[in-house]
Amino acid sequence: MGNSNLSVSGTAPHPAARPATRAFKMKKHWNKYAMIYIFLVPILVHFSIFHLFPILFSLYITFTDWPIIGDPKFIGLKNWINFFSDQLAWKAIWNTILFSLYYIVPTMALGLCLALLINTGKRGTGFFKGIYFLPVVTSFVVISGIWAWLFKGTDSGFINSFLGLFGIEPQLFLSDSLQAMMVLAGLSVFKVCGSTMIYYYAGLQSVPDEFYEAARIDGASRWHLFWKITFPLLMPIHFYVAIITTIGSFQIFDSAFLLTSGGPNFSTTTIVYYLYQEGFTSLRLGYASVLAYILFFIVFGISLIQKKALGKEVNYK
Amino acid sequence: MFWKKSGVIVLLCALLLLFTACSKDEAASGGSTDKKQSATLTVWIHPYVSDELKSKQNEVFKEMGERFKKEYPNVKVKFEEIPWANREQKILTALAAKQGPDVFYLIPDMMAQFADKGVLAPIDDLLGDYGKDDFDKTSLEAVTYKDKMYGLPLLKEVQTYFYNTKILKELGGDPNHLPQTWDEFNALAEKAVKKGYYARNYEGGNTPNATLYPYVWQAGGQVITDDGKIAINKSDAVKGFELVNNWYKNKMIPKDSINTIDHLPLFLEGKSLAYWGTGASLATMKEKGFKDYAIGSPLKNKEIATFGTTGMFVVSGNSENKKLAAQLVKSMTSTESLKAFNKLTKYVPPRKSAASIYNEDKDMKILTEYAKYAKPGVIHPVSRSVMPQIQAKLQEMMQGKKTPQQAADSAAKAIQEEMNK
Repeated sequence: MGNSNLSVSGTAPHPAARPATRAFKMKKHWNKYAMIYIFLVPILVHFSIFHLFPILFSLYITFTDWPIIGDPKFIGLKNWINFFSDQLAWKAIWNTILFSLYYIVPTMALGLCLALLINTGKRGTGFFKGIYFLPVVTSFVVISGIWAWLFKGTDSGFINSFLGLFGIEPQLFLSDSLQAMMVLAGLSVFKVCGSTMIYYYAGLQSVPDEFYEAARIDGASRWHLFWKITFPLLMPIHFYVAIITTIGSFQIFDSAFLLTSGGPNFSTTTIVYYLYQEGFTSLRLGYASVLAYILFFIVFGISLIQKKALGKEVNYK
Repeated sequence: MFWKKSGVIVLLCALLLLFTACSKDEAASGGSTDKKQSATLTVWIHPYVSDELKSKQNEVFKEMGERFKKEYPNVKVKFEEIPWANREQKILTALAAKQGPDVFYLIPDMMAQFADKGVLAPIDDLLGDYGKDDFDKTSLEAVTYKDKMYGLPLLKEVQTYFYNTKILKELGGDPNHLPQTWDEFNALAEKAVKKGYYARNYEGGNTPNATLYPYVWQAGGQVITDDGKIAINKSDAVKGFELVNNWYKNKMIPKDSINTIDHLPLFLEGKSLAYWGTGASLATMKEKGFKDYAIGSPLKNKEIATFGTTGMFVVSGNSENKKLAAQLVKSMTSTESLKAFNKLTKYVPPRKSAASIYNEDKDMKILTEYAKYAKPGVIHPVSRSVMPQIQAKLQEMMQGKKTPQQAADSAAKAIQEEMNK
């Protein structure tokens, strides 16, 4: 500040006046913002200990060989270089992208459809709101157990028994490299769409009725009402839901861990599952941290693209 | 005068140091422990039984603590129960923070990995006489890594065949003369498939300890030799891959065998001739009221072999009371302790002197007899981390993407890569 004053006025202030001015300004600033700083202290301490420190520490760990126990051994960029030649890591990234493709759009679409259904205000919608939200609050372990039973790959499996009624051969489902990922995505859609429904439902409440009334007077059909009014006005919700489902899809772990153990033949090994294996089964925390950072870069990049594509403001006023 | 006084002080210090060093040496060589010393030892245990039997398990561990307290009256033993889920992370993170238990429970492949990373204290010199000859040979192999003992065995498991006697009779078999060799079993398996049954279960989602290694050993092969050489793709070992491949190709095992983890319901529903399981499977059969079974021996091609984990108590490298902790491990694996623990949990006791608990239990007596064939897995630092790779190679073979030899070769390559890391 002192230097900028000097360059603007062209003359140096009196040496004794400078500290007094600075002290006065600081006191004024403190009087004005003291409470804000005091209130910020707990969250800053919490953020530093539980977020900032782990982020920086894990960055340091990426340059070390650390089996959790003992002191980390500095190995420079070896873990980062290894990543580029690790086929399994690339396979895990591809599997995660594949999962996202099966997961993001269905989760958003189903969430929106359910929100439209419960937004009709007809009798019983409150009950269905609860029913649709039930999987969200049910444990992943319980739902996985049910899905394992439904999608059993033998003829005694529930879905296979049903398909058998139509003469369809029993499917392998979780034991098939292609189908397994779809089943996992289906489970996640089922588990999560209740919460996207709530976001969309909240968004639908904020769409003004007069837009619909005006459009109806102009002869707009339901189809047009949806595509010309509802859908565009929900753009901030689409953006938010797209971001959280994308982040969620890249963090998928539970279903792969519980239903397929990453198999068959690594076809459901996702990046977080692989990270877990490297960190806690193979005890290579340094390399696992590299995978965590790669995951961060991917999610950050995708979020930026989504912001560019979906973050437009829609305003009819 | 000054130099005289200083000399006396230096001499006294030297004697003191010598005395301290001698005491340490004595302690380290397994000599007597000070039975009056006071300390608190923490033991991490797990739920080895179902919730209904939890109070009985607590009772067994409480008695173990009291038994130790009789010898070491000033030592407090604290048992803390840790759930099975994510126990590895819990142990490692606790040890990394220089905290955690003095004594905890491990299985052999984890022990080798942990010992290799320096997490465990070798206890050979801390135990004194622990009744070596009373333990069966394979269970002591399971607690040994690079010629050092890191724990003492608490329990043994054994995998073997359970046959559905109704199906067996339908196929012309005799419950008193069950298959002993691969050929005898496969002949029966073919008949089972013709009649619309599966020959056996195959839970490919489990580790190769259960899904591959027993057949490799039965064929006379090894996964990694005792001197650390990779042998999984040698001709004998490949026969193990071929056996699994033939079972799958010939529909002797269910279609979802590639990565399923539970085929017991198929056996209980009477759809499978045999079930490859453990004492835990037997307990479920009894619980479900399934009575038409006969227990057969693990099979033989060149030799009889099976997998059976050995659960052990180990001493943490972080423990401030390693000698006391080792003595506690010895006490918790004494004949009395093993009798009480294994009688409750229905595992096989690794001490011969404790085997009498199953004198009245025909089935457990048979399993105890077969325990001598049970190998504890592959004792090597990479054995645990390479398991997902070997599992994937087997799955590729079952999907028809690799021949048995190719699957074995790529498993060998994966082990080599893991060793190079």
